[in-house]
Amino acid sequence: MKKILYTTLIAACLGLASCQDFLTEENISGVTSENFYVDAAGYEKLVNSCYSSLRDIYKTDPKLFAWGTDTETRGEIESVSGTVGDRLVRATQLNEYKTLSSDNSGVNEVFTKLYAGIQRCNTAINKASSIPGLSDAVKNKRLAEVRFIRAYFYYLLVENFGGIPIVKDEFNTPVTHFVPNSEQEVYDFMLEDLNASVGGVDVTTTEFGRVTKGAANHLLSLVHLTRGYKAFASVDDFAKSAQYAEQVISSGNYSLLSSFADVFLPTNQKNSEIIFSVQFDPTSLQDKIIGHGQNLFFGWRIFRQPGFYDGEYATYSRRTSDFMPTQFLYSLYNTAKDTRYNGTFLSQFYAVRDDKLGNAEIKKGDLRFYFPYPDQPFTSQDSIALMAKNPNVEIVRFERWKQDFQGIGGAMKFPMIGKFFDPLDNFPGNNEDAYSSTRDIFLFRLADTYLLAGEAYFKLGQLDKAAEKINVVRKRAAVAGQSLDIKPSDVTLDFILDERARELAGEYHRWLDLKRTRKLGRAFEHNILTKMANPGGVIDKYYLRPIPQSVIDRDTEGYPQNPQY
Amino acid sequence: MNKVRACSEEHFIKAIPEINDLKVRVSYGITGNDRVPAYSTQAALAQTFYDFGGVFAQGYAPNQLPNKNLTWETTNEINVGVDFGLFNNRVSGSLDVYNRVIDNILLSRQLPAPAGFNAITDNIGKLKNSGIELGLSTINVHAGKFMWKSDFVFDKNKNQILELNGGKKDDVGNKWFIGQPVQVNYDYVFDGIWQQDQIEEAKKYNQTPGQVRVKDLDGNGVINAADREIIGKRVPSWTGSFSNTFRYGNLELFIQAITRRGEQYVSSFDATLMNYNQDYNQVKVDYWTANNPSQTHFQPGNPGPYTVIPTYRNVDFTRISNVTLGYNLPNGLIQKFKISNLRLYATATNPFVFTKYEGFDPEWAATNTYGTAVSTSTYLFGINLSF
Repeated sequence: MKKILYTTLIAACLGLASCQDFLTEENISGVTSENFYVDAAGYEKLVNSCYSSLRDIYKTDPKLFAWGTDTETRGEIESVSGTVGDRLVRATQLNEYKTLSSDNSGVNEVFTKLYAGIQRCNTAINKASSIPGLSDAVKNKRLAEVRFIRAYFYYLLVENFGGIPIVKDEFNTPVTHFVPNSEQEVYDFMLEDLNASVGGVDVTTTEFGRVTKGAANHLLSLVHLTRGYKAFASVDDFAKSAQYAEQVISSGNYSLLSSFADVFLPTNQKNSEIIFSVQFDPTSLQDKIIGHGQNLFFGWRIFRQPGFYDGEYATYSRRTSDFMPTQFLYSLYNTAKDTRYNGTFLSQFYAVRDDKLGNAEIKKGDLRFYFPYPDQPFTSQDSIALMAKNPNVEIVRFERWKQDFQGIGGAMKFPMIGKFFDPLDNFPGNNEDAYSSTRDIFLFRLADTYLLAGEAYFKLGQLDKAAEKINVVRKRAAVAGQSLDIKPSDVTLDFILDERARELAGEYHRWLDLKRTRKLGRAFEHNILTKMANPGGVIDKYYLRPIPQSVIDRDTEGYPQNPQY
Repeated sequence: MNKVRACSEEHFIKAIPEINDLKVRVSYGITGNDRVPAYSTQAALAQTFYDFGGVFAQGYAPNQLPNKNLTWETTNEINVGVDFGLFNNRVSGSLDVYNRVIDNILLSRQLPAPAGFNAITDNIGKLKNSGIELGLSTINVHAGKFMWKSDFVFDKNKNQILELNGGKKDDVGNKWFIGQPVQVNYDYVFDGIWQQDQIEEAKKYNQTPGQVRVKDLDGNGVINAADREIIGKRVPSWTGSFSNTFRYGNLELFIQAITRRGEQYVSSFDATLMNYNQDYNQVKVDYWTANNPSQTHFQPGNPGPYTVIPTYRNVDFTRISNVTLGYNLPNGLIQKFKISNLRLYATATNPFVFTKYEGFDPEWAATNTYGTAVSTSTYLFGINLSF
């Protein structure tokens, strides 16, 4: 009850200048920026943290890269920690666009993480020149690597959100107001970073995963290609895109593996096709469990089925259908000629334990689910023959590789994307940060570079060269003795997008591909849920995400929302 | 500065026999405060994880934004109090009225994402705390062996932001509003559940019957940020306690009740255990179906985007926090056994709570998901024995 009675002494102290010193802190136990980034070793740790922010973008479900496309949709959204929370809301909004609002937590998360990564890069760039003992050679190399990472983050930002603020300073006071730059300025800024980066990074590296010249050239090709479609394009964007891609191809540092499936062997993550990948490894997972979920999202919950519960994750991973492939994706393959169908999808599932199915006995190893090729006949005779040999098999035909909700009438069972399978994955933890894949996420690989080159030549009108580049990828994909070669006249933008879908399914490029090529309309045609929600098709608004409401609310002078949100 | 004047010494007060004691206190003070977490002016680091080709590449990144501009917050406080004893001190107590203005108040300010960090400790503005505290002890009955004594405490505080960043402009991002408490709930306004006959109207908002409906405050046909308002606060309007002691000879009964009024929280009980959008069993609620036009709970599996809005709950409660019945055995009886004191007692802690809140415990509405962080009820029987 008694109020504390203050003495005038304390009040008087306020007037004394020495109080200023009182506020200066000495940090005894913790490390701070001021006492840690003081030598070359400390600076390397700052650079490593910039790389680590690549993980932050991809370690949960990378929400903005797969939903709402022609090749990936939303399936069942699994609860984490026992609660769905707003996971279904945000997935629905991102997949179906119509209700997409500035409150969307996925939009907010990606936007926030990208700028957090950028701030780390800014810190590394700003501090580089004041680190005693950091040799010029190392400094310039690290600066070049970090500027590449920063440019990549700006690429993701500007493509998703349009003109956004270019932040290039290291902050040490609260900044509460930002003004968006134009898209064009952001592109200029990215290219400035990349042009500085490409000359400074190593051509090859003994530390696999560091930014190399090939990575910088690939991103330069991608950025020029992307800008080439825009109103503010430079006349030579497509030519430059082709040129940078050619530099990667002809560098001699990369080569396509002879087999598509080998690219994705869990034991083959450092293969000659990989130009840049987000590094994960069992030895470097945060808290030993925090990896990513690329091996999980493109499947369905088979563990609910007799013969699979518990232990199925060692063979098939504990799958979710957050990013469910669309029927359209399966329909793109000529399965008799293209090895990529089997290289991408798992179509047969065998019981991992003895179990009961009704009264029937299931033995471990029994064929339980079979998904016939969508483009080859599978007659009732075939069906009977298969079931005679495998009495516990459930045959799910293409017509039913759809969602089982909203009256769509599918089976919620479909061939899973299997190319990211990770035998070292632990059982996923109880929150969405605890997906545990230990595999690298491939961001740039040579097959992609060929397809970028093909797209650039197509936009330049050089169809023969376009076909030539695309055919390199298709030749590798072809079944032995078969040809997938195309003629120059076959090359169209839609064909290129189909080819990218076949080659890069599930590799987190799709939304950006549709955005770049102004082909988002394909999602409104081929993604059932997107189509149902938007009978009128795509509108311009959807080519940009809304600016997160928190960014607008927290800006003290006002920050503009993207049009029509 | 502190001034106490014992009015009971004044002649004109002394002339009033009912007043035994009367003091008036006035105090005024200015204090400085550096109530900030250590190292707020420096960039502390956190470990990051990466590898190069399987070789662990540990990193360290700043995990907070340093604030080189931090300065003291200063508190100006004026306090007027009265201590009194009346009617032979049968009624005694004190009343305090205070007004405390904190300038440059230090709080965690949330930043727009391009800043790269979520929040920073900062001097955000001027805050006023004003209130009344009243404590009253009365001896209601004292007749022979019987005594009834009451203690009453009332505390009302008003918390008000006066200025933000040196001006009068609201800071929506931090949910700080001029004239409002620091901790307010600023969100959409719950408006029941979309019904079958509103199917067309719901469609305009891209919603369907059965989903949570919120108010379109500006009536522009879109639910967006402009449709949020202050819907409650997370600080009580007032709190109080009331205790009674009844004594008859060696028998004593003590009952205490506490109350807290005017707070609103997102109820985690509602969000996790009354939420038909999860894949485990839920508490039975009056959920919407085509045949049951509930206005309180959405159709199972069809929540719509605003599930959190109906889970804002008023958590007013009154709790019987303690009941103790004790009996001291008479000295004459126990001294035969060389016992100096023997007391038998039974205590119930938190036996009852009176509230409209449906979760485990209104006192912990925001945290009581899995049965943790709830007040426990205990019943205790005991003997105090001393030789």
